[in-house]
Parts: sequence; structure tokens; C-alpha cells
Amino acid sequence: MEYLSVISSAAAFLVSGLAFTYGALKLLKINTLAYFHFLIWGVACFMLLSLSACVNYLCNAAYEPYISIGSFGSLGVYIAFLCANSGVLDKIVDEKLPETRKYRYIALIVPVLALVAVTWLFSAYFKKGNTVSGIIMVALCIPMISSCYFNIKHLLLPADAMGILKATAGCNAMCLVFTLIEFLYMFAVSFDALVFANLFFFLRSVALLLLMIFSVKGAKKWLLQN
Amino acid sequence: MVIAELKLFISILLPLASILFILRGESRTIMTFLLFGLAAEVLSNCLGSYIFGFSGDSLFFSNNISPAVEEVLKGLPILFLVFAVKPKRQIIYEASIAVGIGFAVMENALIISQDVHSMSLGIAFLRGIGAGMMHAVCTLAVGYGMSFIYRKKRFFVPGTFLFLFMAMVYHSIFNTLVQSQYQPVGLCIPILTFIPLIIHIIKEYPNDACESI
Repeated sequence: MEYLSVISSAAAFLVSGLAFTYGALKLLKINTLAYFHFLIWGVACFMLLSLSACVNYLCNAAYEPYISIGSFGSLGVYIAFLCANSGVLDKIVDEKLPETRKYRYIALIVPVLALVAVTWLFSAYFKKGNTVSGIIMVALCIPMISSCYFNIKHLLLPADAMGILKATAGCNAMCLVFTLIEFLYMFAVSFDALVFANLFFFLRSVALLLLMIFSVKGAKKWLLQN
Repeated sequence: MVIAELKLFISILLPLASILFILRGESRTIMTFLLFGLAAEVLSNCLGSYIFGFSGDSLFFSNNISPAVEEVLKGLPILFLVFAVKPKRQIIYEASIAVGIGFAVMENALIISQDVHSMSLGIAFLRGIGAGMMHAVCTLAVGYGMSFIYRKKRFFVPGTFLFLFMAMVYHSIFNTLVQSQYQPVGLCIPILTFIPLIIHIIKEYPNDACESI
């Protein structure tokens, strides 16, 4: 099954490399908005992660997901998403008004569900004896769940006067899809379903390519409306 | 091993440090950061050999632990510069490259001095280009990222980690490749990334990006 891992990680590297090149060329040229810069860096982290996985599969037979330094790439993706959403976008679009309180509470449901899933996953890893992988995965889930909360909140919040939420809706949706696929990947790894694990690994890069396409469209809208 | 490294470090450090009395302004800053790079390598080697005692597996160590230790130690002078001095972007970039190059100089000097007779001129040349550029790219990426985020307190800490993680993974890819049968690919990667990064940064000099948000 090793060749399948090499193919999926190499394909993921190519697709995420395409996403990064497209995003960097288009977004760095058209605007200077920090939100989109963080998204590009998130894609760069995944590109490095997939290259690291591919290189490790090719060079060392004993490569395990979530135990090599490549997991920092995954952590980097969610830190970038979190910086983009909580650090930049949230400060502009959420004025913490009492009318929008219900959206903030609804958005909390997903992190709670994700916490249940993470607890289950950690116990599954622990039973298999992969405690280190489990701990790394839990560390990964902290920025992952936080960024998920902001993505959902920004999708639920009513449209703002500047149209920024509308412009970034596609990006928020794709960040959520990416996170969901990562969860599926984690489940596939814990069940030793290698075919699905490789498929989900590749699908994450497709989600990032779509994220970059939505980002370019969103950046143009953002600049037009402001 | 550590004593031999200290001897080499002192013999390189002292002549270079003596220039600091003559240099002024930006040149002095750059030279100081080059010396920080040399010191970071010595520290990372000491720390690395200590950690290696626990791990034992040399391949796992050089692919996973060593990049993390080296990138953190190379990032510290940049972090100090950005946090304490808050200079212009251009100075951050130049200081970052200087730390990376200083680190690579010390590392290459140490590796070549250990086995100077059996190492061919070609290998020495490739090591100089490959490892030199790799360290420069990693530190430049960290410096570039910090120059982008240091004015915004709310994402300074996560942003710093983000760029350090990127540098660590990149470094690990390089280390894995150069120790395998794909060594030429590993040596080409830093060259392929250094050039576009430099072009982007040179283009960026006139306008300070990301000022609008």
C-alpha cells in the first residue's frame, strides 16, 4: 500500500503547489489584505506537509502520520486559518452586538461536537498504543476547532454593510470543508483504512485549490466594495 | 567534539567580531547577526548532541529533531531584533539572511573540518550552495513572516509559530533528501525556492505590503 501513499502525497503536493502558485501570483498582485495573505501561508504549510509526507514515504519506509515533523505543517495550516479569521476578519465583521449573540452561540455547537470526536479519536489512538500520535493530534485539534468556530460564525452572521462577509463566504466554506476532510482523514488513519486515508489526504489539497479560487474572487469583491 | 567546535567558533568569531569596531549603521547590524548565526549553530550543536542522547536514532534525529532545534535557535535573534528594535522591513530581511548564512558558514566549516581529506571539491561546492541557501531560505522565511506580523500584537505569537513551523518542515524535507539517494533533488530545492523568494522581496521593497489591515 506504500505506493498509494506516495501517489496521494505527490498528487496532493502538485495540487497544493498549484493552489499556492495561483494564490500567490494573483493575490499578492491585486491586494495587500492580511486575511488573504494568511490563507496563502496556510496553503504553503500544507504544500510543505504533503512534500514532507511524499519525501518520507520515498526515503524512509517507517513513516507514520502525526508523528513526524510534517505534522507541524498541519498545525501551521490551522494557525494560519485562525490568524486570518480571529485576528483579521473577526475584528472587522463582528462588533459583538447583542443581536448577533445567537449566531455566536449556534457556532459553538460545532466545537463541542468536534471535542467529542477528538476525545473518541484520542482514545482510539491510545488503545492502539499510539499515545504520541494521539497527543500530537489533540494539540492539532486546538487551533483546528477554534478556526472551525470562527468559520461557522462568519458564515452565520448577517451580511455586513461593507459586504466583507459575502466576499469571504466561499473562503470560510472551503476552510470548513478542509477541516471536515482532515477529521475524516484522522478517522481513516485510526481505523487503518489506508485507501480512504490517502483519498482524504489528496482531497484536502483539492479543498485548498478551491479555497484559493474563492480567495481570488473574494479579494476582488472586497476591494470593489471598499 | 564540543571543544573542537568551540575552537573553530572562536577562530572564526574573533576576526569577524573585530570588524564590528570599524563598521557603522546597517553594516554593523548585518555583521552582528552573522555572528549570531555562528553562535546559534554552536548552541544548536551542543543542544542537539544532548537531545541525541535520549533519541539514539540518528535518521529520526536529523529528520525530525534537529530541524526543530536549529530553526528555533536561528529564529531567536530575529525575534529579538523584531521585538526589541522594531526596525524597517529591509533590515529584518537582511538580518535574517545574515543569521542563516552565519549558521551555514559555521555548519559547513565544522562538517568539512571533520573530514577535510576525503571530501571532494565538488561536494564542498554543493554543500556550500545547498546547505547555505537552505539555511538562508529558512531564516529569511521566518524574518519575512515576522516583518509582516510584528506590528499586529493579536497575531504576533501564533504568526511567529506559523513561520517557524514552515521553516522546520522545509528544513526537514532538505535533511531527508540529502541523506537519501535523491541528494541532487535535495540540493536543488533551496536554489529553486531562494530565487523566487528574493525576487518577491525585492519587488516588495518599495511598497510596504499589508498596511491596509
